[in-house]
Amino acid sequence: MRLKIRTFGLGNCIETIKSGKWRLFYFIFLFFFEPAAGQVNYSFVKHLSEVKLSKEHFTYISQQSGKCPEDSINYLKAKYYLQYVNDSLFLHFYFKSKSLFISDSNAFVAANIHFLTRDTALQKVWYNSVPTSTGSKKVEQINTCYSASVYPTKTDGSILPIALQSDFARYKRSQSKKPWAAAALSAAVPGLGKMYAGRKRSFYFTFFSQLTYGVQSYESIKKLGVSHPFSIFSLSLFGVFYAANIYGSYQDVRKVKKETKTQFLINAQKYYHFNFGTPLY
Amino acid sequence: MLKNIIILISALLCTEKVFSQNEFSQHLLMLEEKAFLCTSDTLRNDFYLQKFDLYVQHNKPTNEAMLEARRIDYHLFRDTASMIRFLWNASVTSQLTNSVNPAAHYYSSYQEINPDSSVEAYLLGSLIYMDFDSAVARSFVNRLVIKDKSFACVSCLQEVANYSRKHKGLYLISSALVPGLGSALNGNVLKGTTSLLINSLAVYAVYVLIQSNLYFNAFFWGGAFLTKFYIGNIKLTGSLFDQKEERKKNKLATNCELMLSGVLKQHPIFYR
Amino acid sequence: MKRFLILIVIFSYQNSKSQTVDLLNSPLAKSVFLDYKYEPPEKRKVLSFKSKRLIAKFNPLNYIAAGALFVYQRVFSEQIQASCIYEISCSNYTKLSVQEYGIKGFLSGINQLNCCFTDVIYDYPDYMISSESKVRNYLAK
Repeated sequence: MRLKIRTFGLGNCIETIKSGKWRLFYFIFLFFFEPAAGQVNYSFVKHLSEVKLSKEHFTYISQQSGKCPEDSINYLKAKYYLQYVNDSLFLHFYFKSKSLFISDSNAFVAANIHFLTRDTALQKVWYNSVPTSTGSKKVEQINTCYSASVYPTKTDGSILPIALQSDFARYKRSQSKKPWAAAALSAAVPGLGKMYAGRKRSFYFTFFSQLTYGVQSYESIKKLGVSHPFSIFSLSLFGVFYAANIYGSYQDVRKVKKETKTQFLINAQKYYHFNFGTPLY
Repeated sequence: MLKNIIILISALLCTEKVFSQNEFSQHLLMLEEKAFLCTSDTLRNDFYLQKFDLYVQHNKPTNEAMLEARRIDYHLFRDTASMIRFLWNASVTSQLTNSVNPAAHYYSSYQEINPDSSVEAYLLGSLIYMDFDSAVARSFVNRLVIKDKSFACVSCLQEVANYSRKHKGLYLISSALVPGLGSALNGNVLKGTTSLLINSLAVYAVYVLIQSNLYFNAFFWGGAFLTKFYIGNIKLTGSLFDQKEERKKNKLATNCELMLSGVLKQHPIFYR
Repeated sequence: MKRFLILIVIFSYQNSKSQTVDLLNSPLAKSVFLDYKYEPPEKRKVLSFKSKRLIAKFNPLNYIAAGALFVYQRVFSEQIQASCIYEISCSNYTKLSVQEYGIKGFLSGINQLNCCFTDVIYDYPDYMISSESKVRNYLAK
């Protein structure tokens, strides 16, 4: 029997059977031993997902490999990794079953919500892969929110849901702030740069501690003279804290920019999850 | 020939786990599928039990096994033997996965349905109830001792649970009166001496500043550091006291664990 | 050779049997005492400049900072029972920052120390507050 077998991914398929007289035996063999090209039992997969039986869920999908079209298996795997949060594997299988995955609106919306707060590089990969016109208003809204987070100054906050507008306004405000302006403000009045960055309490603490260091340095210089070791110690302490306050204010503006963005995206994720979130299956 | 046999045996030994793992997952899935397709609650319950038993057979007291145990309604079992066996295995699994409340629940149900006075049952009871209800644990230990005096060592469980050092307040007051005294009395002489030294230096520094008419500096350094050092020394005594108590408890626990391991070697607890 | 093979079979059988007993009973004995495990507080290490450039290695200021931080962490921190509002404590943050960014890191650490008060928590967004009500800080240049 000369059977030329060619492998397509995980499933074996007979391409040609050259020897005609063995064909009958081959079909008898297939009838008894080859498992029938199965269909995925989606209600069972749903059940596995709901009960969170990850082991059984994975085994089931693996078992279907070779029995079902590869596209369906990749789609199921993508959904599996979306549920059990493995972003890189999810993206790997998503790209292999893109059209099928996009047609599942629940899963597609869930993935869009999920990637709002994920690692920046993977987030970029995901949102760049989303087609511009999906036909889903939910997806469009989420994507608008994501692009607002990337281009805050170019986005008008009113296009976002009311619940997210204040967070976005805070984020947008923080983006227009300049680290050097904060440093200059802190040089003029200790801690003022922190106030400018949006850290009110840090301003109070910095201002009063600087004031105290200043007064105690002044007192020691006045009573002991500038060359006295204690005066030098007091002055250096004041100097170090003063320089740290300037540099800290500079840094705070940069940190606040990142923090407001992350908080905006976290709140957006919560909002969309609450309003658009549906079971994955 | 011999060489081939050796290779075959080594290959079998090495790959045994991989294959059995695969088979295990397949079996779990098969049972889940059967349970899913099942329309009768009783039958479905039986499949869940089979899944749990699979974890038991493979000696896998994992959280997944606990998830299966929680899905089982043991009142639906048709025979008492299955119910008893499940309750015993579920109590062992719960104890091994540190699920205190389910362990106590399963064990009490087990004893209610099948009053078991075996050594293993009492041993398991004393282990489960040690974290849950010390009085019940004590009663199990007492019953074990009545059975055999050699089980007296199991009472170390109570010693560990009830151990606490006394007179903490006394140490704290000593540190409040003389900085570092409480720590020194606790056995940390070096730390106590450091406390005394630092506090004395801080007082002296404030005194020198006042002498130099640096009142603001005296107020600032005294307020910021002297109070921190003084309160810190009292807190330090408290934390050193607690640390010593924890160390002692740990020592008792280690000794008790050794004794308990010895007892468990003689009277091992198995899944049923 | 045959004896050797028989020995292997007997050994593996014995081993598997003892493992079954040990798999259950040793963890059972351990499970009871999990709450009583004592781990001594971690000893803080001296600031290291091993991976730094040659200039940093010969800079005396680096060693003064390292020494001061070491003495603070080993003696004073314990003596005042310091508790910090930040997840990475001020002294540790300074140490890590200096190691990573040198003088800028030092200023960054002092800046954190300057704002180390309980109320500072309100200056940070919700996601930066841990379940123990501490600010999740991170190293920044």
